[in-house]
Amino acid sequence: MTITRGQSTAHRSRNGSLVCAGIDGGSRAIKIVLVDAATHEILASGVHDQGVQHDALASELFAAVLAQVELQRQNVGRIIATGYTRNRISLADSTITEITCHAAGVRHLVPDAMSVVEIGGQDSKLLRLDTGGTVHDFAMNDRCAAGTGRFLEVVASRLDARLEELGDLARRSTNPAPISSTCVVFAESEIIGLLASGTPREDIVAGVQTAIAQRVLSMAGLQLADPIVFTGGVALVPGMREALEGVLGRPVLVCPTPQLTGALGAALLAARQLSPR
Amino acid sequence: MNRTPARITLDDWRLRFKEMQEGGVLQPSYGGPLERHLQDGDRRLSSLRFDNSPAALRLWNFLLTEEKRLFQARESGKRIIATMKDLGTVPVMVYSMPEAVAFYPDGAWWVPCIEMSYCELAIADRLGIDETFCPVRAMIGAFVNGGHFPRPDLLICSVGATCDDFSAIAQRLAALDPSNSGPFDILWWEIPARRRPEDSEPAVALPGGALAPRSQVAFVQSELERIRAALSDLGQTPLTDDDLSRGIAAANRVRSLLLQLRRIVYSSDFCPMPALEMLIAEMLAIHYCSDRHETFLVLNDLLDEVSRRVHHGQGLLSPESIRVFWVNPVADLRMMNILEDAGGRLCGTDLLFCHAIDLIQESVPPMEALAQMALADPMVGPSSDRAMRICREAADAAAEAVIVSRIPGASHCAWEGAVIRDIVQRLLRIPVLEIEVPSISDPLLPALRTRIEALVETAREKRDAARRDR
Amino acid sequence: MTGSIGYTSPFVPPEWIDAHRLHPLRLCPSLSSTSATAGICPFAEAVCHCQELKACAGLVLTTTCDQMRRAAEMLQRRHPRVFLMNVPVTWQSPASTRLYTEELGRMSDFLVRCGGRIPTSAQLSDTMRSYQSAREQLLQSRAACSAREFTQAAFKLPQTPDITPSSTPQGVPLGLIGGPLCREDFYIYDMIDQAGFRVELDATDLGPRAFPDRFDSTALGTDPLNELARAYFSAIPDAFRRPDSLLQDYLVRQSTSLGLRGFVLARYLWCDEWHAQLGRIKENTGLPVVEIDLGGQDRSPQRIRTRLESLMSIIQ
Repeated sequence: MTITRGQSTAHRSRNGSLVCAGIDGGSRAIKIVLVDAATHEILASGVHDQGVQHDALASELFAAVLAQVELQRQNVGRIIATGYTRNRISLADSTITEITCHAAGVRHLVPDAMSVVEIGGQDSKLLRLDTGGTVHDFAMNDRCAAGTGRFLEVVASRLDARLEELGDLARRSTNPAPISSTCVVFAESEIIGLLASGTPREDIVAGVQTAIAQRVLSMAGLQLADPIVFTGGVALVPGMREALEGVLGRPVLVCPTPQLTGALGAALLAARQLSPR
Repeated sequence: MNRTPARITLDDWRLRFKEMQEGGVLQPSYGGPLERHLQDGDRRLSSLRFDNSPAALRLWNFLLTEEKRLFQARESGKRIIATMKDLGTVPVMVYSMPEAVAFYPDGAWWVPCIEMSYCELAIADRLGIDETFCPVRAMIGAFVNGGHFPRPDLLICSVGATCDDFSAIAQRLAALDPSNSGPFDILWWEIPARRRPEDSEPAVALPGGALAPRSQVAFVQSELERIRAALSDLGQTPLTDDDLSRGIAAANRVRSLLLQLRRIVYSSDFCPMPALEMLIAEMLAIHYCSDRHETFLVLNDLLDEVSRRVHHGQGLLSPESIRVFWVNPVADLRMMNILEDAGGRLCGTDLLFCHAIDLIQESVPPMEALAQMALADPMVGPSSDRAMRICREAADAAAEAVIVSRIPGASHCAWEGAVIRDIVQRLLRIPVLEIEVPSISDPLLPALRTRIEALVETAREKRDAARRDR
Repeated sequence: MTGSIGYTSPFVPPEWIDAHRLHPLRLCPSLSSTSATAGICPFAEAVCHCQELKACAGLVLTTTCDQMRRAAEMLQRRHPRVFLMNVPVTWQSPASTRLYTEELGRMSDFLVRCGGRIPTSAQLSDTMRSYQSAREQLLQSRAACSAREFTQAAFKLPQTPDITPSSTPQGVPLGLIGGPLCREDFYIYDMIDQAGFRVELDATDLGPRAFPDRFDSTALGTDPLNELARAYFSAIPDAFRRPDSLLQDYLVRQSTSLGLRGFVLARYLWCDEWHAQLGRIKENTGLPVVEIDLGGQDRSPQRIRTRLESLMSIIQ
């Protein structure tokens, strides 16, 4: 469990109704963000590995995040849950899908963002935003592990490497290996074959990262407008931004705190519900 | 016995039915409590939510007793004709004959969903028709096990500009060996790919607005003449133009009812009939659920019910529900419930058989009118024609989003979905969602639900933004 | 001869294009740019991205399968000259043959728009004769070459095949069945050879199965267009035709006369028409059949090798 306290604590306990929370119950991790409903400043956040008891884990993490900023449940005006397990989180006042939440979170952090690439543990999404920040349209892949963080985990395990090492490995590649399969199972077979034929690990990693980027960006044929913002847990994996840029041929900006954008968006939308414009 | 409209569960229907009985609501011969179908094996009913009106109960009972009706028809000596891959043309001809019943074996694609059983699909697998084919492969299982309909006296199948899946499955069916209940002799008829007329060619405006060369209409008419001859042989009496004209007039009465029903339901601010019941009602247009006369009565009841609800300002859903235009039928009926649970409502549909709802021309000779109607089939023409019609109807219905529901494995869907999405987004600038819905979608349900909810949220954001701008 | 007209289907007579003084170019697309999208036939998608299209004055595709029909629609949106020829699925009624012939007429108008000239009957007859002669020469050389060499020569028709007799192919006689092949998939011929078989019957779109019937010499003189339609439409067995008895009877006949010991059915992923033939072929010929799906995720040679080895062990 990782708990982070925000820089500003000015509003945190004067009036509980000014604090809102977003809980992103993802497939790999639960993320929680508390925001000041008036200023939209992040007060605290937390991340915990996902497990079987979705609701209990979310409650545990929520309590820990609140404790960090010395708040009680009753200080929180509204809680919105998002993500894969959103309907299992009893703390939440309402739910909103991760598509809307990521859009809101990214737009808050990168106000001129027009496109969002979100790659999580088990799915990936492309969002096109309107100039006003609302979602124009979206495409989502969640039926196939290709184009998701799961693919990277399989590769790291097969190459006996840690996820955080992948970027360094990819950077050392001089000749990325072609990975023709976009299915994780078949790609794993290809990787075994490449290893057996002596292909360096760094070339395999670079090839896999490019394959993921191609897979994600081929989704639904959406034309992405600039600026393109990369978010989701996989944005933390070194080398992935470069792989996306390589496929797109355009710069890609990694969102600040990419793992938290869904939870942040949920918290911001909770704030909006609390005091609608 | 009218109540405030609501979507209720099967359990709720137990009480509701009792209440209706006590209130003296009359039931048709096939009527009765809904849960008896659950006991008969239609297990999916327990996870659906239904409209609570007597008219809706009649609709469901009519649908879920079709199999019994077909076996009774066989016992009473009626001719039974399987009209395959034909969404509305040949059934009109069959019901122009005395003592004949048409049914739609393709409808077996819903058996795995309704019964929550892989039985028919397992038979198809065994015969090499695996999951790379459209879920309509359940049909071959239904023919082999003989449990869902009696062996037909005649099988008629349209091929050509249809989907490869069905053509391949029907061919496999035709050549089955006796150990698999085969062979099944099929009368194949050709429906050519509809094309736009060349500049020099005489053109015909088809129902629904598409144009076709006159030569194509003539060709299809000649194919339908082969069917007329086969039906006349089977019935041992000529199927005359007068018979067909009467059949067309009766078909148009059903279609008129359906058009009225769609107009009232889809245009009303307060959605007066749920998406699920509308899906079933629209399906009746294809083959009348094996009883054209009763179809008329069932639709009439539904129309009365929605008219009454609209008159009293009663609806099932919030007027703030997002107006969604739905493209293609779904193999899992729960999608209709999920759309409404997510805050959406139907405002129009193109379930691949718009031509079976458009009125058949009565001012031209009947065989020509039927040929025109067959060529108006959206599957037969270019995807862009279909997309343009979807755009027209979605715009008229003030749709705020479109869902294109792909049928897994269906040869046309993967190509067509992209064309429809591109054209709708370009012309209407509303969000379009493509989803793929298998017959038994339980493992995918959370993901499908998320997509639909996200679409509704996206459309709602757009609506809110537009209101703010105003 | 002016521009090239690309085509992919054996139901498009190259002599008809040639007689219009255009160059018929049988396309052999590459899988390299396909996306492996679920539901989309890799061959049909490969045709949409075929590099050779850029050099073509026009493209003729057919409705022989739904996937190609949809691919044609897609191409019509970005290529100025794409002709979609209606090839009826039913083949036993005079109306179907008539429709096919009328479609040749419509294709003629298209070819003229692409820069071609309407041929006289004599010009058409001459062209048909030269194609027939080249095809017969090629068929005669069949015994002296491998199936792959035969196919490559067939691509160059009506150029006279230049086949130097190689060593007589050895191995267990086998039938290779299926539709078209992309460039990268020709290695399947080599793999079959390497597995100890020889392709005695090439029943893909590239082999003799997809050749038209022999032209009737009298009809060539009196009504060449109808003879062209007859030879193509009435004779070529294919999986999409209804009923499929033309194909099944052909396979049974060939398996007996050529002494085949088994079949390989090679078809692209999502190709329903050929995939559904698997059970039919087994039942009708009584021979073992292995199916190889092409263009999917797993393109490793080992997968195909294993299946061919299994087929060999079944036969032995």
